Amino acid sequence: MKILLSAVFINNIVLISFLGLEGILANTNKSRNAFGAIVSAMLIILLSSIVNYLTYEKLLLPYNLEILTLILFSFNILVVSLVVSWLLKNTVSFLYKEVKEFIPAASVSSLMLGTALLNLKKSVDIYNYMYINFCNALGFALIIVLLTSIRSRLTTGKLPKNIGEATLVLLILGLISMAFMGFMGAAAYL
Amino acid sequence: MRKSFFTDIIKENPVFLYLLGIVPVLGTTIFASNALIMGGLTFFVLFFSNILVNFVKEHLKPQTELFVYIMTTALFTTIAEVFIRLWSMEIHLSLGIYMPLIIVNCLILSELYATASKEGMKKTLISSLKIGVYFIFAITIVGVFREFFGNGSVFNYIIIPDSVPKMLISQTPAGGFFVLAFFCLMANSMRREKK
Repeated sequence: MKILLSAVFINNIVLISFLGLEGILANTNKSRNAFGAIVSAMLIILLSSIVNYLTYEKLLLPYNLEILTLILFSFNILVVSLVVSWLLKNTVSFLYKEVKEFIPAASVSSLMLGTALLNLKKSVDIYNYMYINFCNALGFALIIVLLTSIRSRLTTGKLPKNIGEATLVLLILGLISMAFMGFMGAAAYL
Repeated sequence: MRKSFFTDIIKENPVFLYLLGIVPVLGTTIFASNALIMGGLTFFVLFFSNILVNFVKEHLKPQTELFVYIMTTALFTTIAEVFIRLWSMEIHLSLGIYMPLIIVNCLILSELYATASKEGMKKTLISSLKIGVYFIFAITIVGVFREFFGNGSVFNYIIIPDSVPKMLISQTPAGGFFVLAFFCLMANSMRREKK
């Protein structure tokens, strides 16, 4: 519970470390895109955290090959994304139709590689590692839902001429980030 | 010619226009020197992976090209990380998680997709040099702004004395978003002006 609250509100992976920002900017213009991005990110992050932890513990640490961590982790994530799309195609095909466009984009998102590397030293065993990664994905999902609902209001309102959509999204993210800084005080009570 | 280069570097900058590769632009720009090092490393990876992909472009297939791109950038990022570790452990620690994240930088991937796998050698070289310089400029200017307003110094040379209160928000993540938004606004309005 402590890890969940900390990962979603206090140390939100998107607002504090800026991981997964490109996925957020690309997928928050429609609610359908947001759903696809969240589902594919959750599935890939769960499976790839198992594979990555086992690779690190059983292969890289015993043979002193830590220099290959980056290459092997990014390779694992790509393979896992292929496995996820194959599994979804053969089991739940109605979900596959919704998320198939977002799986390649999610596999090259900085969320996967960033969380895999960041949480490697924080976690004690494989379940802990999976749980922390999943909580980070929940934080990512929260920001996507927030930003999608705000951006859907932007399409109806009147905007200043020269400002452009990129500027507005960045300003909104900055304001959300400032609002989330208010949760910092809660860290002492956890 | 010369004048158009200096306006283009803001006006046509992919970082400000399409928000490509903004994870390091926001993450490492608390101090301008870190930002400059990060820009240089991204330039290194971008340039050499472009050349390597350009050599093998005849053998790329739609199913496997993503693997080839990610493996190439991962290889050069590992080389860069080894060099940084040998050079200075302090810089390695201050870059932190953003150093390995060069692998999935959107700017590099989009450049590999658009130019290196389709065009000839000469065009790839020119395009990657241009995009690399643009990225270094973007990340450094954001770093200079954030360091100047938050810490009162530029490249660790103190300009504003300690007794003057600073805008501490520019050192927080929220300040990063605001400074980048300011530059996006500048690029957008410069583009609109000409039409």
